[in-house]
Amino acid sequence: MVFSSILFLSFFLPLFLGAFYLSPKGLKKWVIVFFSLFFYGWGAPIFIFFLLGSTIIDFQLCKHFGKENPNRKKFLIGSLILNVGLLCYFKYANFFLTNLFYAGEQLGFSAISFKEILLPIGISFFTFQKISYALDVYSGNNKKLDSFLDYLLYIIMFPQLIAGPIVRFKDVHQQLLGFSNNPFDQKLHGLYRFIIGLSKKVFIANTFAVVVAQINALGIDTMNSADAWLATIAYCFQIYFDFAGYSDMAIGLGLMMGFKFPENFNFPYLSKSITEFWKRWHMTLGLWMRDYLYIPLGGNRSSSYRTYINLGLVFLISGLWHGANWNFLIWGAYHGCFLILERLFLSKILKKIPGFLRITYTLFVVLISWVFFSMDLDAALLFLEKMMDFSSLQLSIDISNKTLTILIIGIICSFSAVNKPIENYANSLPEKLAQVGWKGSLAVFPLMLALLSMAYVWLMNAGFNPFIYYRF
Amino acid sequence: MKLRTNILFCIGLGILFVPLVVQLSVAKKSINPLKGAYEKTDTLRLSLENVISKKWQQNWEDIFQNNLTLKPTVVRIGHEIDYRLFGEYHMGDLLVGKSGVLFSKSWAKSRCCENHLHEDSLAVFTEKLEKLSELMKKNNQYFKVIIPPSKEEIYQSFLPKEYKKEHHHSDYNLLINQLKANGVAYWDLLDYYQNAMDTSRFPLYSKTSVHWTTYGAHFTLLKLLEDMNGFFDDQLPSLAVESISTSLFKGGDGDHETTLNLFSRIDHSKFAYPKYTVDSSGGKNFRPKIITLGDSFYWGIKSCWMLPYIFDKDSKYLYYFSKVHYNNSTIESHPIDELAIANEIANSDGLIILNSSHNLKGFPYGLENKIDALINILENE
Repeated sequence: MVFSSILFLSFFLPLFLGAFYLSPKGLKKWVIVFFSLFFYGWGAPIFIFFLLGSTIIDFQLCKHFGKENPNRKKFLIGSLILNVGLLCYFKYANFFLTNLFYAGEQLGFSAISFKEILLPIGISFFTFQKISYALDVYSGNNKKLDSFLDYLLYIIMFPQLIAGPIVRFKDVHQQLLGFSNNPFDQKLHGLYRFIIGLSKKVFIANTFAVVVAQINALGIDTMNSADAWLATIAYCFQIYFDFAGYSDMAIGLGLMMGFKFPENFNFPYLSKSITEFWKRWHMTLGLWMRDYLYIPLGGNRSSSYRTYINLGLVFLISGLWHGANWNFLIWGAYHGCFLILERLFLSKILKKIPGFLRITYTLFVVLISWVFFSMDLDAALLFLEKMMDFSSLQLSIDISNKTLTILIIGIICSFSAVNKPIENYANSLPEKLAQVGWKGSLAVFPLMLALLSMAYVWLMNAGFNPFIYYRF
Repeated sequence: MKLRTNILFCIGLGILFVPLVVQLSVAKKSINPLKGAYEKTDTLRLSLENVISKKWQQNWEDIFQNNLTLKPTVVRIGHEIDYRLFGEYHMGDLLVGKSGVLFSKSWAKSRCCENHLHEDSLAVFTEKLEKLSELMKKNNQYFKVIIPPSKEEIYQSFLPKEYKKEHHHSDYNLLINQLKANGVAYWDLLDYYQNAMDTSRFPLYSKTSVHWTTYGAHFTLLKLLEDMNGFFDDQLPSLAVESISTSLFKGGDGDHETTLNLFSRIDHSKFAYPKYTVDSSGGKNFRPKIITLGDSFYWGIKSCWMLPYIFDKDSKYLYYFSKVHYNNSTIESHPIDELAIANEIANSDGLIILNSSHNLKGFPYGLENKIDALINILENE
């Protein structure tokens, strides 16, 4: 069940919010846990026990992290092995075995077939949150949770369970403890944030997705250079609005429940370098990688050489985290390379050129990276070849007025914070709205209502193209 | 201030409940259903197997997507906005021509650019068809192939440029050539309707329908009845037009427009709906049992509502040779497999094959597999 489905919007969300607000304070956490389990079980019924079981075991292991416990390190290692091991097994075993057997076949061994391992949805996200808890508690930065309910809530809260934002334990520790007496009340802004996210997904991401699908349907052999460029640019905005929209919805849902989740995107396509891009794109992953991988590896505290190795390693792992395939590995390595190059010399050159050229450079590098991200390696190479042959500037698909309008709106939104004051203003808008008070909220209300209604209309209409009659 | 913000939030929350409340409180029957052919979602049985395989969950997602009581209204709002703001239509197989004339894309392609029939197999079939028509004639059974022009032919000047070109090897040309070559009795009604379009006071084909109008089909009905009376020695009842009422389109006369599921009308033309008198005096009361193999153009003839007065109640309409419909609308349609079709035709008073000119993909839809058996029966009678 995705947030932008009719089932979620018409059934799950109203029932959840109704139950949540009508239940007494002491039961609210239980309501969230119950609905989160239903939410997860709906999409992955066979893995619900896996999620619960691994969460219980992990909670028990983390109980032994107290400084007085001489074996605390062993328990930490146990927790990390459990989490990383399960992630590796479910996410990477197929990839590893496929490549191993392929290599074996190349060396003359007979082909071996194996049963594919199913991937529990959201495993990459909840595993990272479990690791975050273990490391934050072990390091002593945060106290361990006494209540399993609080821990369960942190791990399985449905807004961020299957697609983030990746909430570090330190980000919500106090919120979990003070949940029942939370003075933080931004329900209405949460609802607005949810609607904004839904609009990003439904109006913009889905429109870009249609353009991408139309071009991909042509096949790489049939499409021309203009098609390939348009598909790449459209995918670039599709993935941004899709993911940012989902993050906004998750943050909005969190606000409606009384949680403030960290931001995940900050106008990434305005970045003036790849280094800056990673401070604006999937920010919670970047922070997680920094806190729990890059810094423990030594970060940039050792030699430059070691820093480059650390960066490369972080980005290789980051690539693999996105998916168990060579294309993701290359995508990560590609970004890592540019980060290292910028540290080596590129950033010095970039500083000397005008801002729009730096943005153009970053966009170009990111665009190319999306080709690797969106398709397997062979197809990506063919696709890049097609992009670079500049054979034709005539598009093979028709773009309707509606699609064109949405594409322009999407592009404008991506680049709207073109200077710092606008960016600061856009980022502080929720707080500003809160300060303006109910009059500000009231002023925005009709717009939000219109967006919600239109999103509903678009979702209901999606794919509804009846024929006059059935032809046999 | 907090109270006011909470009130706003509660209103917002209340709005989220609207679809659920409508679903539980409004009877689905009171909602004008969406028009057109589209997949509907049936409820899947709840079982452990279906839950584990996620089929049951997917089924509920589909049910919420497709079957909500609010859906028809919401879809019409969306379609209306898209049409008014962006000039966009939502419909399968739709081609929008000049001046907003609507066509079937697949039929337009068949007219200009595509081929579906194979000359050799068509030659074999038409040869057998000629033999069949001879045997039927000998048996005093009526036989006729009728080819009404598709709208794409009648309104060809409104087609987008890329669909306008002539296609000498189109399915239509292949069929006409083969019918001619084998001497099969057929009517190609193209010239008739092209001329009539210039003189008719009312639309014979409309801008927003893929078929001929009821009024357009009525001319073929009268022509057919006249021809049959000639064949059956004037024993069939005769039809006379008593009056013609006019109105905005009804039923299938704006089938493209209806399928667009808009709130408003696009075509405001006056359409004609004749009323008939049936004269069965003077022994003109023979109602032949006629089997018709046809595409959807035959619905236009049925829509004149006169077939029960002139054909036997056992007459059948073999829709694409797949489904059997009866003149008597109280008899349920059923798949053709439930009939011994060769015997049905052999024991009828006539066979009509009616197919529009650019909808020949799949023609003759399976009759080619039965025709030998049919010829055998007739030869042995």
